[in-house]
Amino acid sequence: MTREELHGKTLETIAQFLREIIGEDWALDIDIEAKTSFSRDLELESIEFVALAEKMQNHYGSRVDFVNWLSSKNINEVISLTVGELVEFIVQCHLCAQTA
Amino acid sequence: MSFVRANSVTHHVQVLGQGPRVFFLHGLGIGNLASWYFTAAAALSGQHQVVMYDLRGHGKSERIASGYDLATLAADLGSLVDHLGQEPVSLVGHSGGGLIAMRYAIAHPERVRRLVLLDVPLSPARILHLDRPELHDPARLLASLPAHLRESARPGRRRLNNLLGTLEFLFSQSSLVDDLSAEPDVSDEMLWRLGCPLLCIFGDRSYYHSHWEQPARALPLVRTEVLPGGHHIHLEQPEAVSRLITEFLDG
Repeated sequence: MTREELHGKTLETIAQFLREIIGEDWALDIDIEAKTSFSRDLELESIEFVALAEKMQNHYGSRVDFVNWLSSKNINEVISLTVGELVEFIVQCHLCAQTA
Repeated sequence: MSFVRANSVTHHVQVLGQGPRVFFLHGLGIGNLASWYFTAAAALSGQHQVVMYDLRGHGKSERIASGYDLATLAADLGSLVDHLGQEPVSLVGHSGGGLIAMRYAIAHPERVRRLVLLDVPLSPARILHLDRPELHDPARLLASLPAHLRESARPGRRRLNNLLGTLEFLFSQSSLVDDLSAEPDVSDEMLWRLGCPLLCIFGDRSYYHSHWEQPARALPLVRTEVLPGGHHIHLEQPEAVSRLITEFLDG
């Protein structure tokens, strides 16, 4: 899989998780893209970030340590975070695992 | 694990890491387990098994109308501790969550290794004066929220509506206000019955530090730490709070 394909597939997976968490009704109005902000566009609540972490843990296992990655950011960084930044983090984790 | 039936109420539970078991309790009202999940819990999960749960009526736990007195809330905690096993646990509680942890530790000294309290009142009813939200005036409610919530919630939108829904339930439709109002102050005699080492963490702009100045002098096993910050010190100073908790639990 090329890096671009990996990017696209990961974005699709995360968008699906977000639709499940937020509820289809609300998410239908919004296209979830790389530039979509968790806070400003999706208004994701902190308890929904926990649900996202749980889904990612179940899907990707320990090679993607979302909890640690997010906890290393301050609150302003978390608020301005985009879906694309999360996708990039996951892609990096995969590439690291492949070269290791 | 996600949902556990404990003390006849369905609780949302999250577990991270492996090692000695530590329970984290959030504050009453605007709190839920997310306040710990991405702060101290993440940091401690490298060396501990961190257990977080939403208190009844909070977060994703069951919205149940009654049972917000400390005895029932401590029984919820006890039921979850028993559900996970027989080994003694450490407890970390913020504000009202700390009152619940303290109540459990006094009643079950054999089950609690260590206790960490972050800005915990000794007058439970005080939570209602200071943390009671301005439900009928969203603009004032927003202004009274901790900074991390204020910056991320906007009037008329989904996130603020969800928060208002939770608070409306807890403060107007449940027995939380009546139950906490009827709760007596924590007496010195009760504090002396705490058998385990105790760490108290306050912000220098804490709501409740003054409650502890007198009793803390008389307690043999207490350590007090003050960090720059306010009532939500674990959100304001996550790294410093994590370090203090880790040192205390492992020391």
